[in-house]
Amino acid sequence: MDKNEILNQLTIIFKKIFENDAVILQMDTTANDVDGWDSLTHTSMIVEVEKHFNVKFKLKEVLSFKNVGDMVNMIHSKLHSV
Amino acid sequence: MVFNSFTFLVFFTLFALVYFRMKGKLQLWWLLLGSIVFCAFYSLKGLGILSALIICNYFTGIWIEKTLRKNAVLLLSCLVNLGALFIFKYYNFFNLEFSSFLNGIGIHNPLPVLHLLVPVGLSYFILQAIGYNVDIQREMEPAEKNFLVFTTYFLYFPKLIQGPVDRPRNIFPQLYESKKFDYNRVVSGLKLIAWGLIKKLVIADRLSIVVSQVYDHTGQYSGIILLVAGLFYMVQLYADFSGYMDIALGVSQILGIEIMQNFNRPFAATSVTDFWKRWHISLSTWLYEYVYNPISLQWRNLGNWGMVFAIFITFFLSGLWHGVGWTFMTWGLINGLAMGYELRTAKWRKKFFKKMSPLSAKYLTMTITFIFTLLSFTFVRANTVSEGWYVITHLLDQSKLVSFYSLGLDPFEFILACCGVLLLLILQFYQPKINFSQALTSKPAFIRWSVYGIIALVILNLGILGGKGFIYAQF
Repeated sequence: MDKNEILNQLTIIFKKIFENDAVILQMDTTANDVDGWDSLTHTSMIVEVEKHFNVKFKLKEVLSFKNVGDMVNMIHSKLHSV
Repeated sequence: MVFNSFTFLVFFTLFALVYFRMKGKLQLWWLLLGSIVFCAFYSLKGLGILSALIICNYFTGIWIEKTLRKNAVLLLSCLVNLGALFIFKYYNFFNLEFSSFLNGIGIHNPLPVLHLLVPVGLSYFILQAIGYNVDIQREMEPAEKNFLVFTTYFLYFPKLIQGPVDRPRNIFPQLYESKKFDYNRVVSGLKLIAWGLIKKLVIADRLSIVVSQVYDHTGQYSGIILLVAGLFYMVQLYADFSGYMDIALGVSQILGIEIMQNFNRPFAATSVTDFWKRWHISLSTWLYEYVYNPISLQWRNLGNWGMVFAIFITFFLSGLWHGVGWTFMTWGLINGLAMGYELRTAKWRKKFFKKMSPLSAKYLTMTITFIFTLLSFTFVRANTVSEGWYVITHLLDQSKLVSFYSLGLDPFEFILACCGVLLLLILQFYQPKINFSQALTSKPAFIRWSVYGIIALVILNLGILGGKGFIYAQF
């Protein structure tokens, strides 16, 4: 799975979790750019992403995400290291 | 040396005059010297303790960056910081509680009572120090090697006493730049200071007279008196803290250093969760980054319950941080429970409010949140939990009503206090499209200076002058 495909699938997850069909994700998208992405929904989103891609993030990895691009890169590296 | 004192006016004027004559490193040295003098005005011993903690955190930061055993060194630095906070702020409280427990079973408590003066701004200092070390451990930020910049960040006087809990990443880069005198920036800073002084001296300190009268004799009042005192306290706390923030922001703006904003119309919040995104923002975001987020992510497999647990822990710690005593812990737990409830019922509430018009839903949720905030703040002001409970359970009791004018303010003063409450509440719910400060800038000099003159007269004639301290400095 390439990074674009990961980004597309993340967009679908984000639309579902944040109940917002207008979500358009870019690599540099941050929580400030997505309506509904706050401290409380963040954890639910991480759980859903892990379930969808069948990956497990370490605490330190999740805390280091500064934008969607960081998450995409992390998922990509985990999928390709298996 | 509180911001609302003549001493600070003289200190800051002299300090700023010299500050803008300097450049580069010399200017930074001057800023540090000013901050040391400011801190020393409170207590030399306090300055000594903060200096020891600064040296300690400077070295632990570099150590965490270099070592492979980052967690162990971070733990050590947290133990030092939290240990200092415990000894100065919490030891006597827990020691007293421990003594009561031991006395109950007939044993004498051998632990001594410590007579220590809490260093100024220690609670805020410790949060910033822990955040700094954690950021390095997470490899998100490098350790600051420049000791001058590092020390100035921690002792920087506009934020020393009661925050904001600004992140080093926001301040360090600014300390490397020389600051020139900028007329527009200085005028804008002075306007902020003036607005902060109005909030503090004209509104908060006037409200505090009624609040103290009622909350220090709760058993003598009931019904509308308790409700008015509760409302006055909520607005007093906001006017006091946001007034301080406006002065701190203004002072810092004059010096050319941008610090974090702490408020965003908190009483217009539509939920308790929303309230905490608008009230004491620098503390809320700190708690989110360093307490809530790691716990909720660690426990994410438990689903919503993991998050509820994280919220609960976060707010319990928030209550404990705010003050020593069961009243603060009760307040923290109530807020934790409310946020846990909001999280568990988010979908149900969303469906429920969708049945209403958006405007009705907005005003209904705002009203519910406003009432909850008012009631929960009762525990912050009450002297004991049982007194706080008395206030809440006697709001509808009409048996102990007295005249409003017997609460410490004469009719004129009381009406003035009510006008202050009304003004601040209107500004919370209705955000004017015109920015008065900017609009004033484009007016002719005659109008501008007339307005400045009126503001000065309002502060001098209606303000309660006497250098009364700020509430949040106690926390």
